Order: sequence, then C-alpha cells, then structure tokens
Amino acid sequence: MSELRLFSKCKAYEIRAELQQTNIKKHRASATKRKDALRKIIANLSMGNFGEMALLFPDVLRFWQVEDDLEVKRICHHYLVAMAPTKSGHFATALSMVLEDFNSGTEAVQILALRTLSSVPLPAYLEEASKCASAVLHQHSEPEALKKAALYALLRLAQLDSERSQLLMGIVGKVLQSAKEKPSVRAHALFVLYQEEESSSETRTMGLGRDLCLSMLELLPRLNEWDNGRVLDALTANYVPQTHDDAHFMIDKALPQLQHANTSVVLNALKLIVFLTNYVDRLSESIVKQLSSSVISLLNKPPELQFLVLRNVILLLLGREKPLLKVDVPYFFVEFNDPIYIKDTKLEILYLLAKEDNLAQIFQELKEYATDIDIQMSRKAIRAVGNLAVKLKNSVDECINLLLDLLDFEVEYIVQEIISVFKNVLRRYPEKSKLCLYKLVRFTDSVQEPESRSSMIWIITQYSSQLPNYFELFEGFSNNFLEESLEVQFTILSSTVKLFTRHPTPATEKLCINILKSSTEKLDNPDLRDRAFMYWRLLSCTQKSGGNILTMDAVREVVDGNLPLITLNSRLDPHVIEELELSIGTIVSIYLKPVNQVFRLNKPRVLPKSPALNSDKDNLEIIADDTRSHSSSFTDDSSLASRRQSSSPVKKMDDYDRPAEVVNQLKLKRKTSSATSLLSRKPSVLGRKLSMKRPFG
Amino acid sequence: MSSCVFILDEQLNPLILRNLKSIAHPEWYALYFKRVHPQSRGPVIYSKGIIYIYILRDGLYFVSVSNGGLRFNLMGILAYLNDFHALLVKYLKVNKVDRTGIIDNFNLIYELFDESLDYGIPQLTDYNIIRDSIKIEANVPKVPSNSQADSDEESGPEILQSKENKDKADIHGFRDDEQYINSFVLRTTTQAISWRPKGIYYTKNELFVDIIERQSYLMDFKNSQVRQTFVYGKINCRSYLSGMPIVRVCINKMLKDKDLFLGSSKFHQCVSLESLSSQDYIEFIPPDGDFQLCEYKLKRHINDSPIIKLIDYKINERQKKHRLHLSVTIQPHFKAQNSATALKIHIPTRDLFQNYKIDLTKAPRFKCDHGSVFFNLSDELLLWDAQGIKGGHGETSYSMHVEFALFDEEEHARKLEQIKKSMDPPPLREGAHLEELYAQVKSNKEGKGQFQSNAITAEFEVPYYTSSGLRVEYLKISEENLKYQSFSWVRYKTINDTEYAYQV
Repeated sequence: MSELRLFSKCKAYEIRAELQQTNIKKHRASATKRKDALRKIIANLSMGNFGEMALLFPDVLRFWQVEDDLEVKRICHHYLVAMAPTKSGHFATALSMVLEDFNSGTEAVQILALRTLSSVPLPAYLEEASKCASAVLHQHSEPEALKKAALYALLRLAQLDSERSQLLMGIVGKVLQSAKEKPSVRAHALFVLYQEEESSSETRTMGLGRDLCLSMLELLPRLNEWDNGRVLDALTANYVPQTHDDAHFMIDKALPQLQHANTSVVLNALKLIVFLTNYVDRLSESIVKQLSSSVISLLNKPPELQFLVLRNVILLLLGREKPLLKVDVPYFFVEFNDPIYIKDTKLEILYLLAKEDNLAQIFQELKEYATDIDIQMSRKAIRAVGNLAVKLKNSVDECINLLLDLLDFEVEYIVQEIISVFKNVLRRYPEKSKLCLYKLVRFTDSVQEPESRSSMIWIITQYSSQLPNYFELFEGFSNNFLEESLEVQFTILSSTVKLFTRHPTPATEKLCINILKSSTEKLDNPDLRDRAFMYWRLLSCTQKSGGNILTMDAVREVVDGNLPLITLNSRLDPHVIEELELSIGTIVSIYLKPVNQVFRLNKPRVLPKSPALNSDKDNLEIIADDTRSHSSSFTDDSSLASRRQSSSPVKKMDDYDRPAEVVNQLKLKRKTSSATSLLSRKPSVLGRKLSMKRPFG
Repeated sequence: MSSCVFILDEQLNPLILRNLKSIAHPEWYALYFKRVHPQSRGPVIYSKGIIYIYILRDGLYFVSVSNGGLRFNLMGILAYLNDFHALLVKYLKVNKVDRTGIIDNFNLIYELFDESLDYGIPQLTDYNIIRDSIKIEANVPKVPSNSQADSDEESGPEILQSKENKDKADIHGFRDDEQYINSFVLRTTTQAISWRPKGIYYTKNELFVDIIERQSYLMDFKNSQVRQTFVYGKINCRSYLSGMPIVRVCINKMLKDKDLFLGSSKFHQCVSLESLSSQDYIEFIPPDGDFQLCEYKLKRHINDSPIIKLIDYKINERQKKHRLHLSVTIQPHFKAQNSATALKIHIPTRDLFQNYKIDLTKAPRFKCDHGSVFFNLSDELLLWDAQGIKGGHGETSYSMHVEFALFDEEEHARKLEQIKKSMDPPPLREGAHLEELYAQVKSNKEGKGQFQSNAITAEFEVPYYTSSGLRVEYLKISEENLKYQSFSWVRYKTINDTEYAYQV
C-alpha cells in the first residue's frame, strides 16, 4: 500500500470531516481510518502546511482522550510540539492531558509527555516540566530512559531561562556525583552540564574533580556508543590534569576508544588525546602510530565522514613542528570519484605534507591532477605546485620543470593558470628567470584572464632587460588599455612607468604619456586616476623645467625598488592553533578560522593553566620505545598483570582453548593413517570388544 | 545538538521535517537551505548563525539544522546522520532508500527519529535494539520472493536471515517459536550492556561468523607497476545464543602482528576495547542477530600475488592471414583444493576496434581453457566466464584466445566483382549480423561520448580463503549460568573490490 495518497496537501475541513465521520463508531475499521487521518495531519506538517493544520487543534485533542494506542499518542504529541510556536489557546486544555500521560505509568508515554512538556515554550508547561523532571531525578527507582529524558528536559529549561539554570544544574550535578546512578545516566548528566556550560555566554569551565573525571573514564566500556563519544567530548578541557601522570593515565584510558567502529567516538577520543598531549612531558611513538592508523582507517568511510577526518588531519598537521600524525602520502591521493570537497581537502593536505623526501611522489601525483578532466581540479593542482615552489626552496627546479612541461600541453586554462602562478615563483627566485622566460613569453597572445594577463605584464616588465623585444610584447597589452579590466589596467599603468624609468627612450616615454593620459582623462575610476596623477607628478619632478627636485635614479628607486621577499608559511599562530585544537569538531575547526575572527563577540579559548602544562609544544619529545612503564605506576601494574595472565592461551597445555586448526589436523592425520594401518588397528578393536563383553560374559 | 532534522528530496523539498526544539517555522530553514546549498563545499554549511549539516545518499538529503552556539560538536551529528541512513536501509529492507520509500513510511521514520534522537542528541542507532521498541512493519512494495515471510507477523528479523539459515530454520521448524518467545523478552536499553537484552532463549545455540575480504588491486600492466593493493575485510556475525554469552575469538593476526592489526581495524561497540591491547583474543558479549564485529583494511606487499593474476595479454596481428589474435592468460593464487565460485573477466575491445580494421562479417572465434567466452558488443568487451577454476600458487594458468578477422581489401574487392558479374543474388548469411549491430551501437554511443577505461577487470568469489591469510584460531562461547552446548560456524570468502583492474 502506498502512502502517497496521504502525502498531499489538504484543507483542514477535509481532515476534520474524516475524523468526525469515523468518530461515532468504535470498531477496528474506523480506528485505522482515524489513524490515517491523523497521519495525514503529520504529512501536511512535513510539507509545511501549518496554517491549515492549526485549525484542527480541538479535533486532535478530542482524540487524545479516546485513544490509548501508542502510535496515536506519538502523533498527538508530535502535533502538539509542532504547534508550539503558535501559542494557541488550546494549550491550556492540552496541558492536563499531557500531565495525565505523564502519570500513566507507561515508560514510553511518560517520556513522550516529558519531552512535550519541555518542548512547548509556555510558562505553564515549563513549570510543570521542571516539577516532573526533578521528581523523576529524585527517585532512584525510575527507569533509565525516563531519567535521561528528565535530564534533557532540565537542559532545555535551563537554556530557555538562564536565571534558573544555576538551580536546575544543581540537580543535574547531584546526579552526576552520585555513584549509585547507572553509568549511562551519569554520562548524560555530564553531557547536560557540559552543554549548559557551552551555551552560557561566560567562558568558564565546569571544573570537574580529578576523581570524578577518572571514574567517568572508567565507565567508558559500559556505555552506549553515542554516550561514549559525548563523555570523551565533555571531558576535553573540563578537567585539567594537574600532573603529567594524570595526563598519561587519561591518554591510556582514551586510547582504546580509537578502535571503535563509530566515527564520532574515534574523533572525540582523538580530540581528548590531542588536548591531553599539552599536559604530558613526553609522548611515546606508539601513541603517534595509533593515532595515525586510526585516522587512516577512517578514510574508507562515506565521503561526509571522510571530510571530517581530513579536516582534523589538516589541523593536526598545521599545529606543530613535530606533528602528532605520521601518515603516508599516498593515502591522500585524490581518487577520481571523490566529491569535490574531498578533492580540495586532500590537495590541501598534500601541500602540507610536502617535504624534500616525498616531493617526487607528490609532484608525480600533482602532475596527473593538473591534466585532469576536471578544470577546477587541474587549476588547483597547478596552484599547489606554484605554492610548493615558493614554500620549499630546494624544490624550485623541479617545480619549474613540471610547470614548463605542463605548458607544453598548450591547453588554454592550464596556460592561464601557469602564467599566473609563475609571477610568484619568479618573484621569489629571480635568478631562475633565465630558465623559463622565453618559453613563457611565447604565450603572450594566449593569456586571457585578468590575473594571468597582469601576471604576464609583470613578468615582461620585470625582466625587460633580458627580453630584446620587450617593447612589442608590452604594446600588445597596452594597446587596448581602455578595454582591459581594472586589475590589468592597474598593472599596465605601474608597469609602463616602471619601463620608462628603466629604459627612458622616446618610445617608452610616448607610451607612458599615453597611458597616463588615458587613465586620467578617458577612464573614470577614481583610484586609477589618482594613481596615474601620482605617477605623473613623480615623473614631472625629474623634468628640468620642474626644478629638478628628484633625479631619475631616485624615481627609479621609488617605482622599481627591490621587492621584499615573499614567503609562504603554512603554520598558523600558536594561539590560534591552541584554540582550534580545543574546538575540534565544531565549525570553527572545520573552517580553520578562530572564533573571534569570524564572530567578534566570542572570546577565544585558551588552554587552562596547570602545573603540568607544556609551555613549549614543539619540543614535546616523542620517544621511540613504549614508555608506558614510566607513565603511571598503577596502570602499568594492572596491564602487566593481565598480560601475564593471558599471554598466548594457545601454548598452554592445560588450557582447553586449543586452536581449532590443530584439532582438525589431528583428525585429518588419523583419517589418512587409517587406510594404511587398517590391519594393525583391527586386533586392538577386537580386543576392546572382547574386553567389553567380559563383564557380561 | 540539532534543532530540527529534515529529509529532502532531490529538488530540496522537504519530505520529512522533525522539529526537535520547537523552533518557529522550521519550513523556512528548509527553504534557506535551498538557497545556501549550491555554493557549499562539503557537508557543513554555516550561514547567518545557522549550521546545516547534511549528507547526500541516493539523491536524498539528510539535513540537520542547528542554531545553537558555534561550539557545538558536530562530529556526532554527522556520524549520526550516516548511521541513521544505514538504519533506515535496514528497516525498509531495501538497497536504496528513495523518495517513495520515505513517503510510504513517513510515520515510521518519525518514530525512528524520536527513538534515535533525544532532544536532538543521538541516542542509539543500533537496528537490533530499535527494532524491539518500534515494531511497525516497513511499507515496501512487495517482492514475490519474500511474500512467505510477510504472511507471518513476527517475521521482521526473519527476512534478514540469509537463505542458508532460512533453510535451516525450516528444517528444524522451531525458529518461529523462538522469535515468538523472544519478542516477549523485556527489551530495554537500560542496562550496563545496552546492546543485548536479558533473557534471550534459543533451543539451538549457534553463532555464525563470516569473514569476507574484498581485494582491491590496481596494476598498470604495460609498465608492470602495481598502483594499489589492499584488503578490506569485514567480520560479520549472526548470533543465536541464549542468555548473556561471552564470546572469545582469537585471530591469527592478533597473535603475530597485533599492533598492526589493531591499528587498521575498527570494532563494534560490544567489543571491550580496553582488553584488546592486553589480550590476544577479541572478547565480546554479542548482540542478538546480525552485526558487524570488526572491519579492517590491510595493506599487502607489492609483490604478493593477487587472487587472479594477469600474466599475459597479447595482441598478435597476422597480416598474411588477415587475422587478429588476442590472448589473455591468468593465474589463480589461492588454495589449490578450492575453486572460485564465480569468476568473470572483462576484456575491453574498444581500443582493438579503433586500432585495427576488424571485419565482423566473419564471426570471431573463441577458445579458452576453462569456462566460456562471450562477446558483448554493446559494452565493447569480451566476457570470459571461468567459473569454478581451481586454485594454485603459480603452477597453473588458464588462457583464453580470441581470433578476429581483419578486413581484407583484396577479398572484398573480389567479392564485389563477383557479385557484379554473376546474376545470382548475394549468398545468404546465417547467424547474427555483428557488423550491423556494431554500427548501430556505435551510432547510439556517439552522442554520449562516454568515458570508458581500457582496463581488464575481474569479478570473483573465492570461498574458504582469505587473501590476507586471516584465520580464526579458536572461538569459544561461554555462558556462566546456562552452560549450554553451542555451535559456531566460521566461513571465509574473498571477493573482488570495485577497484580490481589491470590497465593494458
């Protein structure tokens, strides 16, 4: 049966008619019909038909009392919550029904009622919600799911009414502290406190006690997967380890969670561990390995989750001199069927990972991307090559060769991009200009885009002394000065002046005057005009008639001085990094932008102070061997002991868990041997039969 | 914490709209999503204080909206959406959830959202648990094959069982009773072990363990360069065990190179992760029914042979005879006593047709050591179905030969001449007119300009064999209170990944 017929926009009176028509009789057929009518309401709500559906309030209420089917209850509650923004007068009558549900004693219905109470933002409802929720939490015997719902109800109330939040959170705090509560209830309490603290405007931390924090970590294995993730998240930055040992212990507790099948648990564990690494004196290499391998194994998840993982990888790579991750480059090679956002991110990671030793590999890969069918991708790859040239000094020659190779393809967009990129490369390494200048200049006519045009103009001007035909080349651009885009016009203007100061010939002078005239008289961009006037005055200062205030050399110094070196630094400010690491998994870390840069009002987060805090993150030692034996005395003992107990159960003879394979082999051997030793075994069989018979005989 | 969740169709119109925090006018958020979505990169969009997190599956958008603070941790939500989709697929028992599937089951989906989210916070997404509290049958178009199952009301989980088990159930005839008993078991999530209710009972206690490995292998055959070689493994379990059993599984990989194996694997939530590092076995209390115990991805050494290894690919042109000879030789690399239950090798012929003038009026000839060869004209490939080849480690190899006729101009001219001179009509041809078909296919394809690779790909399935060499050393099931006898079944299988290709 298709429910498509339910899924169409209806008028209120149609549904009302359906509801009333079946109202009288109370047998089964009409019950399903009524249900269908109710479903229709929900379908209409999904399609956003709120105005019509609001009219049905009294009808829905009537049904509420009649029916005791759980599905109908769900629909009614759903309707009530969906209608909450209307604040209709019927809510007063509905309240008593909701309360009746809450007192019904059925767990599922109670939860529904509690959710509804806290979801309707009317004072009467909220009042009742807080009463009910605290009543539930005060009783130990209530079922767990109900307690969870109560905790969240309190969270909602606290967020709606910040004045009472202190009081409400007090109740939650008590739940968290009491060891008698079930683990998952405590986990939820922790999370609720954490959420409340996050949403409040002040930047304070919950300040969990050491014992509480450690006991929560102990609870981890007994929790549901989602709770696990939340506890790990909530513990980050809310308990500050006071000694190195504490931090080591916590890391040890969190490490196994990296193995979890649920991505959010793994990422939250990662977050906690990254936070804790700020408070340890050294890190063992096995931790680095474990972090890296768990990150890598997340890369075969669906693309959206991969995206999360990759963003975190970027962050961790950016963060430190010695990164917390050791990953092989090929994992981040782009696959043809990756969505575009994954491709982008992977490219970014490749750029960050590039070092002298893996450069050849990365270049090979980038070269492939550059000739990709996807134009965006190929442009980005070329950009990346150019940036790598600027970033890594030793790679310049390779980069330039690669770019020149690509230039030979003579594909239009590749040429555009390469020319644009070359400007920065040449600016960084002027000495390399001989290698490529002539080749680049060949493409003067094919550059189309503003960026590559102005880049070409810059290159021609800058290396005019090496180009005998620079003037013709330049004229090619300056002739249609008036039609160019603004960006190119600016470049032409400053380049003509530069050319004139370098080679003061009549031809350049004429060109210069032409350009200056056109930009001041024919074009009406004020910035361009101002700049042209500025140049003009500067130049006229050198003229004899103007009193000769400046020499030509002085002007050249001004117009064509030494350019400051450009460098590319892939590392961020340590404070920014600190903040980003603390907010792994929020949009802040996904966009890699510190909070206060995007949203002024938010205060940046800082690592809480503690005697164990490492002031110098870059010098964090990563020790090759397993240092767990140093880290914390008590964990070490326990793990060793358990290891001793269970060391390879296969070898022990008294262990009944013998490997299945070995047993099978024995069986097989018997079979094969039975054929050959059939004769020899016969007497023994006979003998046994005889001996068995003896007691009877 | 999300304020509201949507499921949107391809045109971004809302199909499901669950308002979790009673925000005013949730439908406007869906409209706004329509606007911001096109410029987006990636599954997270931030605009004007609203954070959209979405995943795209089969053309449907699963969107979570949150307008809380910036500090909220969205990793959980994104993972949740992904899991929710997986849950939905299981509930609806389809491979692909589509628009009608959503509309037909919208009530069920609302309940699923209610159950799996609490105030916009993910609570549980485990199918085995949720199916106990939500018993609404999915409303799916009926397929004749499981009509038998539909007739039975309690048969929800039954359908999921594989064919083999179904047969078993029929033989013993008690499985239905058990389902009936177990449906009355008090099922709540309110225990220390949230994934398994107490009081499950089966008369026959069984645990099925399936180890399935997908091998991915990419090789540039021309330059004999291996591009990629991985094994993606999964350990799927299906448990029919009574009480609260503790299962210990020892895997040979964990005995040998534990760190490496643990580093590349992810475990189900029932596995006590803390004990993994100190013990040599995986210990867990299994959930009831189907679950995936573990998944892993292992790298293989470049020199390790793949299961189906291409050792020769040759194209020989015999000018004099006007023949084109193509031969492919493969070598299986798995246990000699096993045989592949399925093996299909696709050999592209597009390049062949481009580079040579092949005369299709004369039928091509095929020969192979094992199986049969098909000529798929419309996809431009040769399909060699060599099902059931025996294994080996380099001792045996199988080859396949195809001979095409090349266009012979002299002969063609002679024929034309003959037809001109003689009064007889041209001789009748029997069989398919391949060249006409080819021309037809060609003209159809021209417009599309499809991109097709020239890679030899293989599809295979090899039972009783894992390409990584992973093996269950022993498996022990113990139940403190009931102390029953239990049966465990372990199966191995290696299949090909979608990326299994030789570029020629």
